[in-house]
Amino acid sequence: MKKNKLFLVFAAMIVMAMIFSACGSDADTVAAEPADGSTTEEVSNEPVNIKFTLWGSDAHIALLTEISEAYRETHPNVTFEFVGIPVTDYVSKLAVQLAGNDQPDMGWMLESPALGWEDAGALVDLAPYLADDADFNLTDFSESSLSLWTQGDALYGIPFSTSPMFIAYNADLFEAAGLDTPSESFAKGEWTWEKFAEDAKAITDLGDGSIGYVHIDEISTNPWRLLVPVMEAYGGGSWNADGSTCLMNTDESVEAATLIHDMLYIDNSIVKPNEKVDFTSGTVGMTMRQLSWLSSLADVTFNWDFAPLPSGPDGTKPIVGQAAVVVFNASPNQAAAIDFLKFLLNEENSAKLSQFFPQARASVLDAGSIEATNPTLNPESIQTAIIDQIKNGTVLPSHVEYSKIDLAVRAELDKLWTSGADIAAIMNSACDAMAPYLNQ
Amino acid sequence: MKRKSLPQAKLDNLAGHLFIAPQFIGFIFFVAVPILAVIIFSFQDRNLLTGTWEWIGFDNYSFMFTKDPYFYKVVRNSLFFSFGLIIMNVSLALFLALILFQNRKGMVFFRTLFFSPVVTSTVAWVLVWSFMLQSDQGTINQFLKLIGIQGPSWLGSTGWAMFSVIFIRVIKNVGLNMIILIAALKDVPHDLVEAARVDGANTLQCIRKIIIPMIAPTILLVIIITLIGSMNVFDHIMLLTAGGPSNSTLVLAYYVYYQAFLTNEIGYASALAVVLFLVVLGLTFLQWNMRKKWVYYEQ
Repeated sequence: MKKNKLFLVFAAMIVMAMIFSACGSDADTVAAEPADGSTTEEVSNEPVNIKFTLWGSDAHIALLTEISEAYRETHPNVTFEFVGIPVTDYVSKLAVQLAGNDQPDMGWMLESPALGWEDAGALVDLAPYLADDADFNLTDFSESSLSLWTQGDALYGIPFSTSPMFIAYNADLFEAAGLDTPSESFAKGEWTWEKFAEDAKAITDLGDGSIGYVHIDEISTNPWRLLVPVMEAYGGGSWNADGSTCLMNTDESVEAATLIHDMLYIDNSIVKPNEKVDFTSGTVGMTMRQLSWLSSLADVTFNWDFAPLPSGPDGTKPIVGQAAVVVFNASPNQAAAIDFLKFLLNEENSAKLSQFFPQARASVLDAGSIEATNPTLNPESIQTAIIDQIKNGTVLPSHVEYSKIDLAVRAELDKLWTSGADIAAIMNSACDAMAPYLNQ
Repeated sequence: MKRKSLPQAKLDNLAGHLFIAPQFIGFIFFVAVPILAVIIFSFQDRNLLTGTWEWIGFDNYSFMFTKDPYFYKVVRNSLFFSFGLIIMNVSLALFLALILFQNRKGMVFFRTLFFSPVVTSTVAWVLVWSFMLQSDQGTINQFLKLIGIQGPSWLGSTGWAMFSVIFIRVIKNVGLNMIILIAALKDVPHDLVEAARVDGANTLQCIRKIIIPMIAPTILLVIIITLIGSMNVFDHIMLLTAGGPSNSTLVLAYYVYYQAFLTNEIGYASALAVVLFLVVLGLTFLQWNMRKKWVYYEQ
């Protein structure tokens, strides 16, 4: 009798586990239509709560809240929940939410994992809803700005930020070191990566605890953002345009990596991996950032400005970080989410977003809109470091297998962050590690 | 008609079942069913982002043992971490317990001091240590510099990163094992130790021949708990090294997370989780069976 009871309990557990594991659809039945079957003409009047995920600051959330309140004036049945997730954990936490049926309806998406999410079918194809919408005016976005989010005829995201990377600098430290600022060097046509290295060393040699450069992220966990701009300027890069060939072991990429390595371990002019120094402390000469970060300098006590990325032997190669607003396929409120996306990224609201994020809309992208919403920024810097760089900028690398490439290549690039590293051998190993994923 | 009442034994039985029902139901829904679901997921190619899946049989396991370039390194790292943690943690806990179990002035203060990291937030603990272990600005290397030693890159070099993570985790949790062992030491009959001393045994001999054998069951329990905790280490790895440098701290639990939520391979991650479960089960079973050889005294 006892054995029968145990058997029944165990059998019940198996059945529950199988029911649980069958949640989600079979591979052949992925929905191609919005989950609620509606079109943009049939946005429901039923109460809807839209969950919107982002990695922004309080100021960004405040702006989005303001825009959503304006939307609610004509859509009082829609409420919004803005969920902030740190950018370092954004993709993994988003995936956890999707897996746990706590899925957001829409949100921001980074450029690096974008292709993987598009390929996995996690994002709604927005093309049917936007292509013929005269009010939204999709033609206001250039083809290049949409290229990362376009696969064939499908369009999986609308960029809300096409933000060039630039060098923000502490003008007081440059003055103390008797150097031209990066803006002045750029104006003279002398702003190269070699000049960048010389200036960083000069600031470090002040001997008062100052150091030349601190990177945007922990170097060991995100080496791409440090290496890619330099490699591109030298004529190298991470991989080629169609993601089939590794470029990290080219002579140009090795030369670029050598420059950074020498700055780290010979000049000691870059804050080393695992060291915690912040640009806002006033002891760092330069850092590589984007427009949305500049609001964090509001309370610093030193003079600062920003200049374009330096040029290299292969010329000026602006690097652009891009993020888009996407709608998730798992959302039960796709129609409402798409409708809000059209409102959020229309011309009027894009102009508001431009105070933090350079817009991809041609009608909005000019120094005036950024200047109007950022009166503390140097207008000349806005023009040279942001507006002029967007047109020819290359988006940070993305690949369908980005996360696997990242795991494989970081294990090799970790060897770069030691004194005396064999840079050519390491870059070769990085390409070998990347190879199994490049021909996907 | 008079209602028949249940016999008292059956009523007692029913009451017992009702008392454990909430715990049992919770165990079924939140432990047993998810474990079985993970086992089922491990035989699927499952897309985390869209929820679509298909049966692929043993393909995940086949990939793990024959094609995954990281699996064996991950297992080696996990075993190294576990054994390193157990040896350091248990020996330090025993050392502290032997000193602090006595009822002398100040002992309560020191027991509290060594136990306090246990109740500290792991995130705060790790954050502080990440500052202390910086290679240039960190407190540890600044102190070593004062005495003429060039400290290593504790978290940035493959040789030191694992040791650093083990050390940080040992200091965080040794207080718990210390308290468990102190409780066991207080149960050792004092007259046995006195008798040994009368026979001429010194302190070390008393510890080796009397005290440790008497608390051997508790030492076994501490080792098993520490082993299970060490094989599941995730938070320290995630916050300190993210598996680096060069995958030198990439352990099984973190690798499961990476595969599940960063590469979205939930089926493969489930297969890794099953292997982790079996490894922990196997090691626990091994230890439990070896107790007959080296646990001298069982109540």
